[in-house]
Amino acid sequence: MKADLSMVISMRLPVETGKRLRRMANRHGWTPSDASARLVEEGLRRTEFAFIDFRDTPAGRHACIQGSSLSVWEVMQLVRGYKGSVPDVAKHLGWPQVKVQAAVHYAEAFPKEINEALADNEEIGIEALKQMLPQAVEFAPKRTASR
Amino acid sequence: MLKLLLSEEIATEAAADLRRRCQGLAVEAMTEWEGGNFIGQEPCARLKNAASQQWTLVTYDLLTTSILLKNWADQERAHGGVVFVDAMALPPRETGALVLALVRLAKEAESWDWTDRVLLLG
Repeated sequence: MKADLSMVISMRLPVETGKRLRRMANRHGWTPSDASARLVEEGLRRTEFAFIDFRDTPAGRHACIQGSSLSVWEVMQLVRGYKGSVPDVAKHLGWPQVKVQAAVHYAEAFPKEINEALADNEEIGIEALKQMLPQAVEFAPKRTASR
Repeated sequence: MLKLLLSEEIATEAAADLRRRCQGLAVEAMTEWEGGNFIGQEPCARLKNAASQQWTLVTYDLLTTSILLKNWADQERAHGGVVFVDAMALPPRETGALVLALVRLAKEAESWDWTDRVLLLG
């Protein structure tokens, strides 16, 4: 969510708000300036895009769909799988089509953010999984069924 | 005993299909589990509650869940097992293929201890 160009806007915050901002920044390892810029950007996106919210995940803050556990990139994984068919994805999830469409619109507006998450997810194969979680094993049911 | 909790990205009909094909297997869709209370919650809250009841999570989300599991392992926190689904081998739209793979897994894994088990289904 980094902008290439930036401008300085000074803000007057209530003391308690400033303390909360600092606490949030510390929790994420950001500066208070970064934290406020991110929150403003998220707030603007929430205003500009229907059904979009933001949530902390172990992989960072992700855009997600309101009233759902899914991040936008996860909805887009389905949209790609269904070759762009919003009605098919809506049926798959049991959602109204507008919610899937909202994810598509967000992904169109911020393709880098969503494509990076999709690529990162795809890159985690069994070897990467084993490095993080040594007990991880692969299970291929077709092969085991033919034994 | 294997108890499968299907993440929200898995088609809504998968849980019912699995229950029909594997009678006696405990299967819940995230959308129905605990009255749908965990929909919209952070991944950590979902895994924590699943772990406390020994549910094994089935998910296509390797990106965030794998990091969460690593964090838990570093903290020596146990969970009820996670089945990651390889989207290249079992695309999310092919719900029937996923259900069949889970049926085969359930038959093979009937007596496994699922505590902290991590599996990539593909």
